[in-house]
Amino acid sequence: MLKAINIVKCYGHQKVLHNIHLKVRAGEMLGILGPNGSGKSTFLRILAGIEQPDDGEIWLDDVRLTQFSPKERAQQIAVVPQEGAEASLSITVEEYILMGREPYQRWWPWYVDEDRRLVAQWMRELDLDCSQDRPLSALSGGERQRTEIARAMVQEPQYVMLDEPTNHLDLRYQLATLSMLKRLKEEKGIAVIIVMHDVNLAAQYCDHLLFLRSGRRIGYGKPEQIINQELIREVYGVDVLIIKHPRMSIPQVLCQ
Amino acid sequence: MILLWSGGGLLCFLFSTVLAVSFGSVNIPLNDIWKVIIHSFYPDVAVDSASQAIIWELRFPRVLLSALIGASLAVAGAVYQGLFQNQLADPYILGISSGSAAGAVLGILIGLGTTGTSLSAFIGASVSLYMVLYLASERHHFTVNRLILAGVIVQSLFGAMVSFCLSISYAQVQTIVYWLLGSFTLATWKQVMITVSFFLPAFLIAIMLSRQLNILSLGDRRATYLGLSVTRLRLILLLVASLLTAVSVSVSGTIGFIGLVVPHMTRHFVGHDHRFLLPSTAIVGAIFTIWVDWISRVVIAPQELPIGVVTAMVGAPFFAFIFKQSRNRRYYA
Repeated sequence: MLKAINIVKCYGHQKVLHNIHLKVRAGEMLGILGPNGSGKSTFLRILAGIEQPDDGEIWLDDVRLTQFSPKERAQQIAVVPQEGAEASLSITVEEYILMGREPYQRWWPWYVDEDRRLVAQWMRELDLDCSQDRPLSALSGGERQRTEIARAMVQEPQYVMLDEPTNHLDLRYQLATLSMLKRLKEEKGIAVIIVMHDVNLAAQYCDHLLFLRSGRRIGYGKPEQIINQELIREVYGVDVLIIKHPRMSIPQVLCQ
Repeated sequence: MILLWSGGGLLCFLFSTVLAVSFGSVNIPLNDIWKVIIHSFYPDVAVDSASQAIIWELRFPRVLLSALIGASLAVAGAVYQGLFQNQLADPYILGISSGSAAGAVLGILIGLGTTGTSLSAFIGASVSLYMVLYLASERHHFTVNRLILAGVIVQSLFGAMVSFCLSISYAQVQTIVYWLLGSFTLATWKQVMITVSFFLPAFLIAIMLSRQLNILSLGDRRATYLGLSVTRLRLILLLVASLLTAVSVSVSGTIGFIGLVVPHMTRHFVGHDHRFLLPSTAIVGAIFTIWVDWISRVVIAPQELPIGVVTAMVGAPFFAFIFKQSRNRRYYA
């Protein structure tokens, strides 16, 4: 279980996260939502152990995250950042995904067969086996995103954190990416934490949602329990209609 | 494939070494070279004492030293280019050359001998590196931009010191200018040994960190996500490349162009992966410098050209050709 206890973060004199609490269990998909500048990405980086909070602690299975070495941390937590890898890189898909094996490497500079086998397996799983020798710069948005996820998965993590993974993707790829993540969490028991903007998609795919505004926790719970007009007004400052999804028992947000 | 390339590279290197030892202002038959080599291990084998002196005391140390310095500068350049993700980076980007030049000039003015001048150049290089790291560090972190800016500051400071010394020293101007342009004229076995003892460990560490250097080119944040301690890794690589540079400059003066051009030429053939690039660039740097030094001593023999002049004259057209050809290709660096 990943626990965030009383997380406070300041940039200069500005407090960007106010005493946030959170628990994420194995095999859970959590969506972090909120308007721009609400501290979602900062919170994600703190959860991943990349940035240190000014107050509060992150615990990973009863051990403080700060007690993990960077390598040990990367064996537990994989991050798919918002910005894509530099488009101009001539590095191939396979080479890039192999870099996900970095947390398991020692002083020998070459990857071993087991690393390559795992990479081949994930490329097959994510339909990338035809692109293994293509440079990153030649990939479409959807292929890029799958490459990123494959790179995260070869880290063999318990927790995968993604910062707006569906940005810049068309509807088909958005659904494909989220379905894939859902499948991964169900099959491998991995916890998936996603920062996203689309409340309706988040409600459909995530088990729990965390709503932030100006660095404060406004709401947390299962989508069907917490999404309502008041919450959306409080978080985003807009009036919306809430209807029930015709096929699933989850709320959906409609603009007025 | 890798074995084939590395075998070919090593053969080329040995071939270049023997040829460069053989040809010069006095040409020595290849046969004599083998004899002298064997003689140095088994003194019973008879050799001509003049050839022995030329080959063993003059040419061999010189050729080996030039190979070592070429390899050092090329590896240092490749590491700096990868580290700074900047194609214009060269071993002198952090101002180490100026620091070392200032040290050497002071040594020459005080009247230290060759060894003393090398030592004082090394001290100058270390001082300048320390100043750059001190200026660039910000809460124990080094960003690329701060390092480069600190390099500019230190370089201009020591550059001014060198110019000042030059303008007040009429008697030693020739010696100083000659040192600044770089030369292998006074190569000795001692220098070869000292350079090897620095080169081998530094090179091994660079090879061991070559995979991490690849990952650094994804950017600091991504490298951190993958479990790298970016600041520590960058510091180690900086120290390794700077040590290679400092030793090279202290031994043979500031030889320009090798550290910039050789990594580029090599990258053109072996690609961007530092695990291949670093060893290949070492061999290419060694071979390139052997031949450049050979040209510098035969063109106007018995006089010698400063090697910096030849590196630029040979390197620039070759580099221009490759540069023009590869304009559409993008690398890591």
